[in-house]
Amino acid sequence: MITIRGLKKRFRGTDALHGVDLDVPTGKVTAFLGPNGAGKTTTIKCAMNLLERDAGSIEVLGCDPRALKPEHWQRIGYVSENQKMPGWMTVPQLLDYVRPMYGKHWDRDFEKKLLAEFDLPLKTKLRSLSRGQAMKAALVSSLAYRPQLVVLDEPFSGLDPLVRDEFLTGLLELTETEGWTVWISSHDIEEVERFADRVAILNNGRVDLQDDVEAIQTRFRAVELVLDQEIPIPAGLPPQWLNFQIRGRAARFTDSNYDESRSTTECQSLLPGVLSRQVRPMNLREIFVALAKSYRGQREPQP
Amino acid sequence: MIAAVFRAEFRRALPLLLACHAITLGLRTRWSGELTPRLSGVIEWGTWALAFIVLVGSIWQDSPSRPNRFLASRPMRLKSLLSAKLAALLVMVALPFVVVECCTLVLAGQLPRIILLGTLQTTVFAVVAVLAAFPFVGFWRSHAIAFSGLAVAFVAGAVLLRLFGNHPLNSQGPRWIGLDYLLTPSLLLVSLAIAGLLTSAFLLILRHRSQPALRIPIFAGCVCVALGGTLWLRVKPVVADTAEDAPLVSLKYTPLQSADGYGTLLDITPPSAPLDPSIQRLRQFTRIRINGREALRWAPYSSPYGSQRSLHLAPVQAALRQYYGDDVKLPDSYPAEDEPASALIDDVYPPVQALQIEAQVKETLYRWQVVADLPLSAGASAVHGESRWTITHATTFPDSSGGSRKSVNIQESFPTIWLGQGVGERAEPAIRDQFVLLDPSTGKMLSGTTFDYGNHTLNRRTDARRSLGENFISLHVGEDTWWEGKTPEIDWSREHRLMILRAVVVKTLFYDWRSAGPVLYPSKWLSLPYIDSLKSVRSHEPPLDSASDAAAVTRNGLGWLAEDLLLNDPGTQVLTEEEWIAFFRLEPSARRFRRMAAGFVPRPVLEQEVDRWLAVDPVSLPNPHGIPNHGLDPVLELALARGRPEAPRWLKEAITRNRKSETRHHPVLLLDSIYDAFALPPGLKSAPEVVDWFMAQDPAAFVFDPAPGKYQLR
Repeated sequence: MITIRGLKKRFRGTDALHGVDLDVPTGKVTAFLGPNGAGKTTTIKCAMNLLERDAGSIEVLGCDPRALKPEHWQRIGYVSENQKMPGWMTVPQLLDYVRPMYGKHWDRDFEKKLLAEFDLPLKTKLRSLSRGQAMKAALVSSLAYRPQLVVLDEPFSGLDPLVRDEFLTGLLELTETEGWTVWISSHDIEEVERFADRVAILNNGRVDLQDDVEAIQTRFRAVELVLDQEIPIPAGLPPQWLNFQIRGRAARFTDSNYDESRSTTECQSLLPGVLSRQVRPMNLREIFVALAKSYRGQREPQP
Repeated sequence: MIAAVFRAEFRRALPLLLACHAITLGLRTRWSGELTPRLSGVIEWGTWALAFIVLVGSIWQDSPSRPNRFLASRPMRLKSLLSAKLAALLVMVALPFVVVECCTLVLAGQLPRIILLGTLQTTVFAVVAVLAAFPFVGFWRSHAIAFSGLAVAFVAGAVLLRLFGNHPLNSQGPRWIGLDYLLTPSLLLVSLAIAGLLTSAFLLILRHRSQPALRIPIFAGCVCVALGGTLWLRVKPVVADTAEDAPLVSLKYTPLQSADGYGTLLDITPPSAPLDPSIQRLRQFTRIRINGREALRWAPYSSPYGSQRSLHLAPVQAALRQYYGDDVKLPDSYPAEDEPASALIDDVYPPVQALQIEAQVKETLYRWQVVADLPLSAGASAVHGESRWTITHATTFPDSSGGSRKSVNIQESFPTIWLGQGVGERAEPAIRDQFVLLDPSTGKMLSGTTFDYGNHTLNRRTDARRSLGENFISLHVGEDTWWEGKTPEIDWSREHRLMILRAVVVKTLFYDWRSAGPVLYPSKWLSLPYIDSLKSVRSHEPPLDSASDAAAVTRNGLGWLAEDLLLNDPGTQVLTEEEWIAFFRLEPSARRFRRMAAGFVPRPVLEQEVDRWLAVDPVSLPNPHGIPNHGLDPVLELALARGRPEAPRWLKEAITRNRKSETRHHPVLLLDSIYDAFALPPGLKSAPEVVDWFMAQDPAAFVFDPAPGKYQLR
């Protein structure tokens, strides 16, 4: 549904994106993760033709975003925390405003269902709505025409837990029933983990990792070793061992491409005095933190 | 889609805007005069401000330059969006102004032509403003950049105006000019259109470039180019190609000192053609080039005498006589003085050097006309052409001397049409209307002091905001002292009448004059730091040695300084006959006639010239030519010098008439004139003896002898 290759963007002499490669496959929920300032919003804006890219190629619904026509936009639902909605309108006025743009694609029943589900006040102006309500209003205006591609940029930002839960539940139900392709950016990994089929982690303007959630969780393991004595960090550690550290007689690292037999062999050869070895699966948040630390370590100059 | 955008724009602020327009319309028509002009102005400006906010807010919300705009990711073609926005804003913002303007003009009972032109000019202005708002607002990607860009453009525009917005003679740098000079409707439209077009072009070029900082200098450049173009149009003098060459002129510099500082007044008078006494003349510069540079200020300096008006003026009296007949009681009259074209050429003294001067003078001949005659009671109104007057208050109150002062407040409405200027009757805008009261108890006419208050329009002919201007005039008649306190409303007698006189253009002439060589620049005259410089100028005549020097000076406009040397020796013919006649016309006095007739110009030529004057300005009694305090009337003196047979009779009748007014009769003032014009018998010593001798003679007994140039008894 979306293919990005070598995307680069500079702002006032600073590289924001260094060559992003990303795929958002059809029918899946792709979570776009990364710390604040990683370039998620910039990437999405370039894909939505809201920003001019400096280099690289993007395909959205099979065409360059610069060539997106109204017919394409009728199949895309985009909601962003940065979007400036006309604050002087009420929710029904907003829907009146956008409804004619989608013609036959707009589903009035679905619109009513969404309004009922989101429990939005109908007489309050958008500028007076809470952040969560405003996000829901934007979501209604972007989903009521049943888009094939839903792009959500930081939709949870600033939402309180209850609203966030409602929002997520609603979105999960919709994606499951409608079979939509969803590209959702967030720095709240735990929330995304609940419904994402696929994850792409952006760090410092590059996609460090992108794969299905299951595959990632299968590949990453947290390994803890107890040694017979304190030793310095040995040389020649495998590259998939991330953030290797020794504290006293305990050694810890993240294996980013875990294989039971190979891992056992490598531990025995590199660390002969291993008394015990504990391996546990990692959640997305831990994987993300491990990757972020690893890349930070790579960037920092070695003493 | 377009309908959705249209509907959304309607919902935004239309009800509020319509309410404001309705109030404005009510203020202009039903409640006009009930609120203070200031409050009415505030409400009108408030409506404009609201429209501005709606316009800017609407364009900004969906500006294609803003990545965060709501419609950026919606299925809306840019062309459709802009069309819908434009249509909505034209209907929502521009149309109400047009409708209000049209209704105002219709309800004011204006002529169809004025209604059409007024509505049309408001339409043009509103449409251009809405169109220009699109590139101006849509140029920016964020608030911060927009405000930065506007600030930079403002500073750049101010610097441009400071550097190039003036044409100074001095080297001390130009002075600041006011934006009000640029903000005339037509120039505002031109600058808006230029800036709008340039910004639109750059908007297209930059649409795929996100560097926001690049937009700031580009926008500032567009604004500067637009301002520069407007300045060029403003500075470019509108000169007439059909101007006649003036062979000589009279040129004077006068240093001025006012609260604003020093200035130099340049006066140029071309030779005067004889003029009917009912006609008045107004001279204005259309161009002054000094040393090759335009030196005319933005607006011609308005001489305090430029709008000379008084019941004593012969042209004013001619208008009143034409309206009321010859039986009307009027005070003594004076012919209108021939004023020069004046311009404040700089606010500091020009450099000490010789000047090359090139000037074009516009001479407007106008006559006064009674255009309204209405009873002096509150609510009375009168109409003349496109102007309407209504008396809002007529009051009287005691003054400090025990008498009473009368005060009349008049509301005048008039069209401020700039789109169809030059159409229809032409009133001279530089001359204000004159208001005269007729007191029925005495049958006398009174002219009062007029004050304008609460002007809705600074310039009655050029107002961008509305096509119907209003002026509030307060006319005071009575003692010069002010009585402070409440003014009781009284019912004036309906016998009292208020007459309004207006200057109507009869003819317009243009004269070109170019100095023949460098004009002596009398720098030492101008260094005198007091106003009464003319006296000082006369006492510091430039060094002149020969008649040729005098001729050169005369050709450069300073002949009034060199007259004695120029007319010293009839054997030196330093001027052509055309120049001599022009020199005479510059100051057609009896003294100059006698000196020129001594051999410089053939006497018949001069006599013919004087006869032309007397033909259009006959000395007919009673009045208009009495004997003013300064001596004989110049025309009567000319008639005596030329030797007209009727002249002794005219003089006798004038003295007879003047003797009736004992306080103003001074025989000594007549002494020189009688000495110069008549061969007196020996033995007459005192002025009363000379005047009494003349009055004792039969005027028909005098015969003019050309040889001595005097009348002798048969």
